[in-house]
Amino acid sequence: METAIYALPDRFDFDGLKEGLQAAFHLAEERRRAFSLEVFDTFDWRLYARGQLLVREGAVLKVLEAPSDREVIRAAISPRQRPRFWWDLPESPLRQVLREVLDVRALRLLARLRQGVRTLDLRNAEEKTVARVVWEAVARAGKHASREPLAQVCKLVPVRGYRQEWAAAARALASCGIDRQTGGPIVLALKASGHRPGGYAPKADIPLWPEMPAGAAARAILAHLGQVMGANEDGIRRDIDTEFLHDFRVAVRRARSLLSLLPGVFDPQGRHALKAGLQAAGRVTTGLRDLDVYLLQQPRYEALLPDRLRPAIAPLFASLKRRRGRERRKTLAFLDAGAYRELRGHLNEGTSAVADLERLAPDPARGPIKPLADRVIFKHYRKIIKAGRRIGGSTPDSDLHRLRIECKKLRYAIEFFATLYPAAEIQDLIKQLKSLQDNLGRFNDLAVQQEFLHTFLARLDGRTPGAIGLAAAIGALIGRLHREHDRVREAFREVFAAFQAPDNHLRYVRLFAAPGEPA
Amino acid sequence: MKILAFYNIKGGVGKTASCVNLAYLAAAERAPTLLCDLDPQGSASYYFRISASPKFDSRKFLKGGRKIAKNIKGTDFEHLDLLPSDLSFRHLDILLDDRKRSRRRLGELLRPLADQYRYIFLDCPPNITLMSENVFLAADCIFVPVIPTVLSVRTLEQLQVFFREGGYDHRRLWAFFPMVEKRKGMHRHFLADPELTMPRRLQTAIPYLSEIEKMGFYRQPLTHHRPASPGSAAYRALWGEMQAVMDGLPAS
Repeated sequence: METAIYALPDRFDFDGLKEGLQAAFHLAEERRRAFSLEVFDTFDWRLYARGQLLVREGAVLKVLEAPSDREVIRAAISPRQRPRFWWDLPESPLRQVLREVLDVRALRLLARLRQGVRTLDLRNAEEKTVARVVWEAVARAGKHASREPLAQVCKLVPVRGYRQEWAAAARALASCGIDRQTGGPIVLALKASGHRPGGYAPKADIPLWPEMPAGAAARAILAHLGQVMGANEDGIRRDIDTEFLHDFRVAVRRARSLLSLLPGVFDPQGRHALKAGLQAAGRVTTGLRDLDVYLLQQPRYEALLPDRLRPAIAPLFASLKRRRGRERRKTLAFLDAGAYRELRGHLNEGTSAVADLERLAPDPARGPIKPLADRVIFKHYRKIIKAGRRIGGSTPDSDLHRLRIECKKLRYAIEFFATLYPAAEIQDLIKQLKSLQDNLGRFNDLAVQQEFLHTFLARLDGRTPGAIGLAAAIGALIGRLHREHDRVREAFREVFAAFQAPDNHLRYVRLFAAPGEPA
Repeated sequence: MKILAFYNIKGGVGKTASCVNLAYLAAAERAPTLLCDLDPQGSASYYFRISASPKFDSRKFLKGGRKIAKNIKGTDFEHLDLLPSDLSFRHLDILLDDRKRSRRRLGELLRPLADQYRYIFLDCPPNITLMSENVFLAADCIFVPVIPTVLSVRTLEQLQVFFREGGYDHRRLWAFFPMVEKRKGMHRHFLADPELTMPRRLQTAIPYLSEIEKMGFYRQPLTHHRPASPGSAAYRALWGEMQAVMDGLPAS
């Protein structure tokens, strides 16, 4: 038995409903309460995606289960504190939940609302409550407060063990001419105030079909990536969390990857201009992203160090923070510049590079996307197998680095063209590929981090106060990272063996190889 | 999950009233709580205005699993559910006797509820029976209400002997004083005697109050109906002590 939710018309006659219920139940005196609440979620709707809501009611922060709005967990919070990152919150089980869900994402205040709740207990002959009718109205509060509700619903809440009584009440509600619906009042109010819960999906499938002209498919993919870039600009400007820039850069990288995966479908001049724009977007923002990554590593680095060396590392992060300010200004200047506006224009509306591809561009743009997608994916898969097999104990690190890039290309290609293949197969492919990528990614991160620390050490002025302690701490860190680096490299063999295992291989052949093509 | 049994060999000692009021307090702190009414008289069920479905009886109860889950009912209070008793529960002993591992059955029946409830309160029938032995094995704590009189204290001593001889864990046994009348010399005498053959005794005494007796009229926990009354205050203090006792137990 679950809470049933009914949509209510603007002018709903609650007293009329009461009369309808009176035939079957004793009605308790109605209870009323009203309270203000603030609703939070991350930019990418992580709580909503789990079917949950995070609300703050005065000094209490709670997670509610949608659509019943039943409380899952709560914790006290200072009324003045605006919840932002999980690590800002006081220790509690709720903090642990948010740690899992939010990771490094910040919470955004979505709405200030005022909720009115009227509860009517339905009782049996023993005066035992057997079900509850709850009428909830949610209106805007805060600066643009209004009495006019954004949403109002009626809920029929069951009491455990009284199924028949609940069903009788449901019949009474249905005879009042109100209909069941799926959303709770808070989500409805968010929608009514212009939010699109779950609307941001950077990895959403792009709907393609096998006969779709390759040019049109490329245009659809680029338009999606352009939208992702645009959606993240505001968060980058306001420095809300590190993931806006990260998602922005992934979209840039994916767009560049598409240009190289399907070179034939673009007209060469347009492709060149796009490529240059995307390259600039990647290059300008790299410094900022790297610093974000190092700063996020701070707790981990501190945990890796022995107690006595831990305080000595602080100047490293202080220096990174100063550098981050400079890098941020560079990124913001880039976003404001005409070249970037032009790039966005290219991606969204399409210019010579993508617009009218079917008409203007070279032949392959007019052909269907499916055979092209098959070929591209299979080619990159074979490249990875060939390169991976050559990797042994004495292979230079740079070969693993190149293999990592190849894997990324394959991953993007599979994701771009996912809708052309059976979803379950794609899921399995990505899972296998992901564990290979995780190993290679970790290997690369550890190499880059060591390199970065070496460079920092080389430039360190030994005469500044604290320099000796800092150098010792950096030395200890490099040692730890180096050991970890070796371990990850050792694990590669096993991970790669799983990737080239027969059933995974056969799946690639079955899905992507042209008939008669050598596997 | 912690299982708290309220038990005394003797009846009429305020066992059900304590169980109902304390279970309400547990639920009021948002801890998912189940009260199992094991007494065929069904007083706890009566206090919550709940009667078992006509299809529920002692056989279904001993089958457990879905048979129990289906018959758990929500009280009028959030986080507090109740498994009602049925008059047929008077046969529980006979039915238990026919089973293998007959002293362990109650524990087995309650175990699947561990992921739903933080506390399970058992309102037990008086007398020492096979069912009581099930309770002694299943419960983390057995709280024994003892009216401070000679006869009542004597039943506690009998229980301690039974625990010793039956090999039950006497560390689970906790006594507390309900229905205390300070104007009575004997009550004062027993309250003041720290030795009193009661090694594990909670300090809070529940006074004898007509408002507790009146619970049968208005059929609600006193702790909900009159939270500001002296009786409610005493139950809250007692609940605090019981939580401290359970905090000292190993996690289960």
